[in-house]
Amino acid sequence: MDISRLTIKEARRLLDSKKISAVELTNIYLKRIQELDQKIDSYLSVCSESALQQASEAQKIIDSGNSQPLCGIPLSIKDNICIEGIKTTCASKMLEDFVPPYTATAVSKLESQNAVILGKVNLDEFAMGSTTENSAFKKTKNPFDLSRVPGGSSGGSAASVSASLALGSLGSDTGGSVRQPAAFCGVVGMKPTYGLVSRYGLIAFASSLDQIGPIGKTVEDCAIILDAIYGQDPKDGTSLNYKPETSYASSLSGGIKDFRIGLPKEYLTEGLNSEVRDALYKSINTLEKLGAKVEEFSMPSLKYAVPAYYLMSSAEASSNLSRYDGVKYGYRAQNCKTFNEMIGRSRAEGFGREVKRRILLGTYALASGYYDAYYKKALKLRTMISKGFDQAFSKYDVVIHPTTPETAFKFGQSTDDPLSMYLADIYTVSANIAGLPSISLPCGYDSKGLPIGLSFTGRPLGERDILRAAATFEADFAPEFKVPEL
Amino acid sequence: MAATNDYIKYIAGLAKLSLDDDEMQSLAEDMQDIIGLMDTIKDIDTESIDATEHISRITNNMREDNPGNPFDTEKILSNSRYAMENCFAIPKMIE
Repeated sequence: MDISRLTIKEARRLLDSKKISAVELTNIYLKRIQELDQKIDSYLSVCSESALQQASEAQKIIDSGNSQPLCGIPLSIKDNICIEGIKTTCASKMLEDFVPPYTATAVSKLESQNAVILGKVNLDEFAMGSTTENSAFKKTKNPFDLSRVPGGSSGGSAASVSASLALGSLGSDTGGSVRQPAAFCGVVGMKPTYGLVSRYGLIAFASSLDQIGPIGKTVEDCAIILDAIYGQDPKDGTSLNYKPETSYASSLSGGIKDFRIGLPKEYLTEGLNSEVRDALYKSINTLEKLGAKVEEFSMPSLKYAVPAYYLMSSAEASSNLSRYDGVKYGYRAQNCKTFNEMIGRSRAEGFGREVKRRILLGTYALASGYYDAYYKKALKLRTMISKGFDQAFSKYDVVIHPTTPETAFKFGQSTDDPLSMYLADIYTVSANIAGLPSISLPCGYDSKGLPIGLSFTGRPLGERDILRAAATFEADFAPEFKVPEL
Repeated sequence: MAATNDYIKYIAGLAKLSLDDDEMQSLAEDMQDIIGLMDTIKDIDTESIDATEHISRITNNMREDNPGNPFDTEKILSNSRYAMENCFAIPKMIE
């Protein structure tokens, strides 16, 4: 068994045909984590004991012949998603010792299928960042090149799957934080339609943009995880009461003959790296060979997507993070003489630099005198971008674009230049702004061997279209698919 | 609007971030560049456009008005080292 190419689908077959037991499979991953994660640094906490217990329970279900798709499958969970009794830190000093009293609905759904939770993985602090360098605890490395970042903020999730330290992962995506690290690490990651997956238990960054999303080695693996975690949740008032006609995992076939695919011209800017551009056009040729019709179209409002995103997300973050005051949980500064001093110093000492930047930007955008010019204007841009996509989807089945303008950066390249880091989100933020489903999968490797990601974005609740397009492309790309050499 | 040090100090006060002078200066410099990027939205006319506060495709997602089970008090208190008598102790705020 080549663990580096094992998928959830294949692991299911091996488990159900008794070629391997759930405990054996979990032990393989725990051993790999022990041996290899010192190079990758993807895990913040490993739950060996509980994972083996879960595997043991899963085996009983397998033996009874009633296993569900994720029964006995070892997964990692981004450390901003709560699991009762297990530290959930958001990679922040502010929550370094926080142990949630409840479990996120998405994780409960995995547990109800008897999935195995290997541990919690690294992220940019409070999901703010695109490199995982903003973690207060460790820097996760890209398995394809250990001197480079895995992307972010779900860098630990993407790296753990890429390095085969988990068969799949749950990340969170507010402005691209599942799709971008998936692209950098050569795996598949998707952001569902806003509201399809419950946010209960996802520690809030920007509540109108956040979504939990799966990361896996293949499109099918992501679809299997999505099938397990979607659904209306009474604990999340923004979750949708929607059930697809068939499972997402059974929606991948059918090909893309006569599929209409649009490519926004506004994404073909000077900042797009030439090798990424070449991979994009090669992918378009492939899609046309597979029967799709691809054409460029214009959506001028996309030019304003990055500033609109940063204004809205930072404003919401400044509100969401106001709960961290050292009173009931989280970091509390010592030797404070007054209540106000306690709050001010707890927040200044507990938060990292990028979090402070975003809180300041958000407070600025909401401040009296600036609210209309910044925050309200961003909300109007949201209307324009959403309507632009509505118009596009009257003509196209899916929209295509690169996931990132370049491949994985070297460590330190973006930490001193937050602006260039923000601008690199150009392709991913608009799906969050408009609440659309979007998936990234590998479409090539640059001259340094670094993965390049291709994205398909669909209409609201159009997961089946993007999964079908992605799976069809993936099948053609399969002979070129690479895994990192560790 | 330029993000002057004084204005960022005011914003930090609103956000309840007690930053020291060095950090304030450094963050104010970052904010100059970032606000410069945000200012690009001034180019576009949005006068006749309605704001979209939330992209959620549902409204008034109500539940039945039935009480649920409260959280276990012990669990809520367990994340603070300053819990006493079922309360959270804080520095004096009223003289």
